[in-house]
Amino acid sequence: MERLKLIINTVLKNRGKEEMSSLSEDSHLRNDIGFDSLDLAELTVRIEAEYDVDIFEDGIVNTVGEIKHKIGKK
Amino acid sequence: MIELFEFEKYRFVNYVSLSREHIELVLEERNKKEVRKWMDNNKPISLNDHLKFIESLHNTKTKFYWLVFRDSKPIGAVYITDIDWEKKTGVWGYFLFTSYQGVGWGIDIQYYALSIFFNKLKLDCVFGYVLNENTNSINIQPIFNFIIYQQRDNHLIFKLSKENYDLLPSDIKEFKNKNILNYGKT
Repeated sequence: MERLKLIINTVLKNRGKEEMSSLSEDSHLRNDIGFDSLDLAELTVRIEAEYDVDIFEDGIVNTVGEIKHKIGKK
Repeated sequence: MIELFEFEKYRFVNYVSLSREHIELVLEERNKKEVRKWMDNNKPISLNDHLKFIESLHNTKTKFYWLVFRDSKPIGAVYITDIDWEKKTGVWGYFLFTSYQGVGWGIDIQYYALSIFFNKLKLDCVFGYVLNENTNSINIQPIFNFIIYQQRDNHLIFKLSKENYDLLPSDIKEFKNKNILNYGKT
């Protein structure tokens, strides 16, 4: 979770957005974290580079927990 | 030649080749408030007008519309209009169906749509109109090397020349690694 949080905060930092001090599995990528399309595209690239998983490969992902689940399946 | 384009998981199917079910789906999605609020003509369109419009596409060479499928699921639409074959220019746009907005697939669609316009239709310049409030779309344009061509009252006109298009990596993965990760760092 810490590694994922670091990636999410890297994206937020790159976009000039406020970093998250805490994240839960229920944190919604768009509504809670504030990701827009470009942020999500960067998140996808970074997660794929780190875990070799395309989080949107087989459908929509809305929450941090769903990302964690996809990474865990690898 | 312009009926169908395929790129990895994506298929671009010309509106003139769509089934009635997909024709109606396009209209249903296009008429949703969340989609049409970003359009120049933001009023709902009737089925009758929609059908007439699609019929008219059979007889024109100056505009093309495609329904975009990802892994066989329809997820959005891409179009290019006002094509001037002498100047080799056109005006493009796209929309994602509401269920697929904000997942980053718009980046893929834009990448492949530009490939159609420049590599298949052989255009030299493409313009895009974006409403001032559509910050999501405005933020995306620079990663594709679009520049602001004109500022109007309520929208921006973006322009992408073939010369600048050719600077984009020809592989989408490389494009994302290079252009998205480096966005805003230069």
